[in-house]
Amino acid sequence: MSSGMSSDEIIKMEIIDNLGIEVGKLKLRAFPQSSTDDQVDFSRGGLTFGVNGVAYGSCDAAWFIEGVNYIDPYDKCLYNITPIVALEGTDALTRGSSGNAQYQRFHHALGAVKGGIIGVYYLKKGTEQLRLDLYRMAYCASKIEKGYYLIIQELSILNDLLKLIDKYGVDSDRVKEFIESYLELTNSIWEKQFLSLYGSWDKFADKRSTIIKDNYIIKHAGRMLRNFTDASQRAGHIALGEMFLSKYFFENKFLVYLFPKMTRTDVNYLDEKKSNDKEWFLLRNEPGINIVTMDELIGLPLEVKDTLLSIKDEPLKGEALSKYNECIKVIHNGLKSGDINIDQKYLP
Amino acid sequence: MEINSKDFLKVMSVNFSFEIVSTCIGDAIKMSPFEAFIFANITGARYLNNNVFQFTPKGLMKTFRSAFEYDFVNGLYEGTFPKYSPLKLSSKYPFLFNEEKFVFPIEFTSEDQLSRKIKEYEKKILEDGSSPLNFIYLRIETRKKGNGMEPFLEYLVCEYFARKGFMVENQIVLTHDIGSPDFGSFKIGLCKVEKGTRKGFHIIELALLRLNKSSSFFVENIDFSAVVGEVKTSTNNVKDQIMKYMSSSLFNIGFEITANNRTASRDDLGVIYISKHHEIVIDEPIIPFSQSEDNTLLTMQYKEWIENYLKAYLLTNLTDDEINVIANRMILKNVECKSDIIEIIKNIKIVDLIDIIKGD
Repeated sequence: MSSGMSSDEIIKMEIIDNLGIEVGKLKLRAFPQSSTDDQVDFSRGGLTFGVNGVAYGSCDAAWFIEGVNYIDPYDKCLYNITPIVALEGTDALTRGSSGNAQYQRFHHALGAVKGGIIGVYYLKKGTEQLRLDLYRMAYCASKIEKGYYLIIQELSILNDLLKLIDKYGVDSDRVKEFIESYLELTNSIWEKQFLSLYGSWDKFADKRSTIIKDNYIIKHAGRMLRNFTDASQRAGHIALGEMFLSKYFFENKFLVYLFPKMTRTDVNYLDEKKSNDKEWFLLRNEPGINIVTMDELIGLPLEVKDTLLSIKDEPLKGEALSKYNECIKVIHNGLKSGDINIDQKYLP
Repeated sequence: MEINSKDFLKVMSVNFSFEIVSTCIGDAIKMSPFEAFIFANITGARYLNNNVFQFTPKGLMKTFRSAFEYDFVNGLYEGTFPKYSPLKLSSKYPFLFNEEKFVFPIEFTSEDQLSRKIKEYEKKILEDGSSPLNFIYLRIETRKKGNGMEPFLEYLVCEYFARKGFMVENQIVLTHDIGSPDFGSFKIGLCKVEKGTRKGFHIIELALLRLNKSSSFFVENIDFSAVVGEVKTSTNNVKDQIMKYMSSSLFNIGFEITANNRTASRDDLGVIYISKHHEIVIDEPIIPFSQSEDNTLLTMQYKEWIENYLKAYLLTNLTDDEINVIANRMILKNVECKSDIIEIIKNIKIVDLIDIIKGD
């Protein structure tokens, strides 16, 4: 099998070709794909951002200003190099990524956003369509978090933003106006599709494996233990992406993330063995969410639980998928009606 | 040995007679722009075209995703027409093929240190009145096991076999279940002639044909054979991997490739290593590899696919308009989708394609 040039390298080449190595006093930091330095915290020379010791994945590039004092929200230390924009890029849309795999890199620039820096997720245009949910996720993240989050498909937008920042300053009204206009525009694009596809949040919830309660939502997904233990599977990243989708879409509600194919023993195992795994750590430590399993479903019919246990480690295809779909129908409707409930211990 | 800067220079000079020259930033290997491009393509060495994130062709010179199939990866082709062909790259980056290049090693332990060294070298080169665009640096990451020099070993073996008359490729295309061997060399029905001498070649030289006026290619009648190799570092055991490749029945000989003197893990495998005198040493297998079943049909199918693979490289010498001229002749329309390009690749004859390329 040949993989050609990596997505990261293609994106970085594009950035250099279109934006150059600096925009005024904003300097670029980017590393070759073979480097592991991107996994180091930005202030110590890398491209990883986070807050309070929690890292949110590494970015592909960042623009910074030298000689300006900066307290890094990741380690609360003072540095004299200030990050201004952090970018995660992908050319997945040219490689056939049409579904929720597009969400899997959303959290990379989120660390910067949570720290008050502008985060950008660039999905290069390709044969596949952008999942417009990303616009809404970024829009809501920008409202809740300290920084702004932009989803772009044209580097010219980033170029314009960087020029404005260089000319007027990152905290200027001009920059704020530019970003907020862009966010409103992209959110309205999402909104138009939302209304056409769903019409209401209730319909959205039904179609998107979600149950809306008064002060919390339940989002269910057919994840299994191996999704988080096997590094070659991207399902862990996608689970994280979908978690952030639910969290930001329902910004005022607590999120109960239900994995019906998993047990509490599975979760405890992962907590013990995968405490250093970035994606699992984020799933378990993101404020406002709890992971629950089949063991925390009060009122779950025994035969449904037995079926789930019989397929818990099977990939969701063929017979296992059919069985799961039958089980999840019971669970989804039961949670909606109140016949099945989440153990109170895991609710806000 | 852990290959360091000195070893790099010596190995290149001892085995390939590349000249070590003294430059304003230290010793470097002098190469023609085409040799340098091939070197950078395999090793990931980067041109000093800026001091932040430099250009390398590594990863761009690939065509198909899998053997026996015709699905493009992002590389030479994107969508339908060639995207990162050397012809198109030469317009975007004119420095690639215009002058001699100087390849020099940089040892480093962090990206920050590397960045400072690059800026320092760039300044020195400019002060010297030279162009940084003619300098290419090889990363020697001394904090990594083996100094991160596996791609350099791939280059050494490729260059060695190319000079022995074979067609060579690193990270060769096979199938998902077999994997992607680090090295392959082939006797196929195509040879390169340069300055009147018959030579082997790196596969990407097919994509350089139009730019490199000193070489040409000829079809010849020759029995197909293939050799496979895998680079061994201090942390991986390659025996199982090579056995997987050999079990595909596509290869006649398998080699373990290492920087250190060692013996092959099996009598029916060979080993390639670098001696303490910096010479590349090839120890052939003691006994021939015994294929478990008759592979004649599979070899024929593989040979047929490889011939199309070569044509995919050759086609990238043409502009989009020139490809459309061929398309109108062969499929009676312009290229509109991937299957159109594939049809051209499959049906055009190699000799005709070479003639078209060399026609200007």
